[in-house]
Amino acid sequence: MKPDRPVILAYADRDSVKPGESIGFAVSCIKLDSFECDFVRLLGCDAGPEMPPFEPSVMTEGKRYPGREQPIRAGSYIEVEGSRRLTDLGPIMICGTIFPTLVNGQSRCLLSTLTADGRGGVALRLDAEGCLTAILADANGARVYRLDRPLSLRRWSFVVLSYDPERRRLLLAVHRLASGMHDHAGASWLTVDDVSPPAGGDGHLLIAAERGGDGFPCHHFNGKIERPRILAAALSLDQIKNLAACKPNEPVSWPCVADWDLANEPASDVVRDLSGSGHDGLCNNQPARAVQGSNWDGSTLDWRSAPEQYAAIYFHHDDIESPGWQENLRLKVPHEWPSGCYAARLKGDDAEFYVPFYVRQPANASSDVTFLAPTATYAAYVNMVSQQQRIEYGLGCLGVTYTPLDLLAVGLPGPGRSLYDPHEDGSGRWIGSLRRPVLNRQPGGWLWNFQIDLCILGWLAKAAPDHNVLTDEELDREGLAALEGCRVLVTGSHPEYWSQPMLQALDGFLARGGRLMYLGGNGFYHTIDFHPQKHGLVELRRRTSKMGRVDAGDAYSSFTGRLCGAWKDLGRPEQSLVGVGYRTEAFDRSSYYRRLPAGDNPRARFIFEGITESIIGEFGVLGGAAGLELDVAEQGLGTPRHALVVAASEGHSSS
Amino acid sequence: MTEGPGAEFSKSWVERSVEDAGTAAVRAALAAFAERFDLVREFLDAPFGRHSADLRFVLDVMRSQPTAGKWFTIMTKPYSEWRAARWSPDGLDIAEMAPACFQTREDVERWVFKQRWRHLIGALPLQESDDEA
Repeated sequence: MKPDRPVILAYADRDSVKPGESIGFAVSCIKLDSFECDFVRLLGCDAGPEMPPFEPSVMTEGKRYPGREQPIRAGSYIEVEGSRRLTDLGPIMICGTIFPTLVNGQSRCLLSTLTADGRGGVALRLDAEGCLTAILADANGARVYRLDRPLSLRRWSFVVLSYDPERRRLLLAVHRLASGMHDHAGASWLTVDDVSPPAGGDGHLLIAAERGGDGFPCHHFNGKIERPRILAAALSLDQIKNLAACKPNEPVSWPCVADWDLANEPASDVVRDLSGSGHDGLCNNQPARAVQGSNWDGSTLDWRSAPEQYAAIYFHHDDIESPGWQENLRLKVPHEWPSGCYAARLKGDDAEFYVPFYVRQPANASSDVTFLAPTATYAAYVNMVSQQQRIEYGLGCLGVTYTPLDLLAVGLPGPGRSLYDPHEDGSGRWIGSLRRPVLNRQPGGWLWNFQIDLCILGWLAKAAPDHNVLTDEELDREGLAALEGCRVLVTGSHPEYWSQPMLQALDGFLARGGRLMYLGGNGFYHTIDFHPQKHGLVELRRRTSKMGRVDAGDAYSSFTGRLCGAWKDLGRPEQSLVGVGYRTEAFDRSSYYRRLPAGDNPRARFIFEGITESIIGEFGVLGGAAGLELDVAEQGLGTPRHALVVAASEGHSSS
Repeated sequence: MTEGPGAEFSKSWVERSVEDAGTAAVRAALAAFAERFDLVREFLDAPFGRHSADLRFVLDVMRSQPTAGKWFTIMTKPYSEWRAARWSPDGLDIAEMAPACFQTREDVERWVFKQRWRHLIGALPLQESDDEA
């Protein structure tokens, strides 16, 4: 759905920058030919008349820039460039083991050497009905040959396109593999004689997509592909049957033009060609690697211990890492800007869009107080649209509330959704990127997560004006050294996702006497892994199918090889760290805290200095101070015996 | 290139009537509540709060309906103005926007409740049938 009004979308090339460094912004304008940009410091958000007015500090004068629409090309695939050997294939057999998950009335390409003009090359596709289809193209256009029966979804099949130019014979075959899921192996095939050879391609090859008329990838495949090969021989039906019975990783005795091993190399975009022809490929838009392959036998959950069982890649038409837009403007951060949260504010007609970023203190400065901006959690929640049928139960309401920008995220699938929104094939999203337009990280809309964190920063600007702001990713990469000179670490309102290096740094910080102020709920809950090279890219593998289907074997991060899951299941319940841990949610209406006798303990006296009330926080935009995410103390999960529960919330609603 | 839901989904929705989408079962489940105007009053008094077991049952059954065609709310101005709108069959667009503006989330929630009560249970008590915000 194209917006019917002017819209500005944008993203930055990084999340954090130090004074003197620069940060770039890429902008797309829909129904606008120019936009204005100024830079503001965010010390609060627009949360209506009950909150202080939203008045961001303007740091630079506005400048006008020419604007244009920049497309978002979602969908993951593998690209192999410029091989003369791929232009004119001779006798060939394209084959691979596939696990399609969604067809949905559109062609889905497995492998293609088709030229953009469709006048050369070959392709192996599933057509709009899910039937295996061969495309042979020449100057007269594409010739299409198809099997009549659609492939089974969510079942492994060995698929083949074989063409013998001497005998002018085309063979198309599917061998459905026994999967142990109470289905049956079987085969179907089609042979066609007197088939003219295709015209040569241009040496450009795509796996899991093909080139459209505009030269860009289209017809993205949804599902897994394992061990795609191009053999320099046209095999007979019996030979194909024998090959289908082999394990995908077994070597073949025929010469190969290309033989791609899709087993994972941690956090790598490269796909190795083992044929010796040099046809290595590059993954685009972050398909999921290290996923259960056709070989998976349930004996392990760890792709590193049995890479041959995880030699598949899972592609989705709605995968997105970054649109790769052209940069429109760049800011060199002035030295006098204090550490904090800033944003490029982009405006044009009625459209407005903020691209937040953090300014960190320079290396030679330090501060007693550091705010940890939860960028791992932000990356998980990018563009959450929550359209699951059960969402009204989760939010405790009938009319789920959206902001106008939320609705834009619903209608514009290109920017991609959150790790709470399943892919269209029903599988869970694992890879979250901040290198794309983020429609729900704006200083308005829901008072939740980022917006509340801005309020914390507004408070810190008064309580500790020289505080430093550090991002999750910086803590992950630098470890304890990132907290040099810091005595108090302050969290955001919902620091849910933590990588192992982040927790290790926190442990070291606390062990040396650092103080942690946990100002949120549902914190320290689940593992996440940052991409070791790319910025703003996280992997979140859940071990349950609550947010989209997850296969049991997909338990270890493809980025780092670490075991994934809730930290309490990995021996680190959050109660053992901060005394409380996640129990439930209250998104409908927040409640208040009642002071408890333990609040009179001398150890807690400093907390209540100047406070005489027994009911605390029974007011505010959300109805009270206790809500959204609810944590509880629980000694069985590690709340220490010496912990004092000085106040507790009560009176939460029944939804 | 991005791809929206395929024609198959839209087609199957168009071919289904609202009754097929579980509404008949929900109506049957809630038929016994047609005269329970006390529950209407209870909800309108406190849309978010601690509700009786019977009202919780009614609300949960209302929530069980598919997203397509459901009323939802839009916070058009942060915490000061809400509208009610209805999902298109494919859930990607607004099919219908109610004309009224609401000043609180509670008020727009009341309005959505009234629509669902009428759709799934029956007439509202006369004094509650005014939908003006």
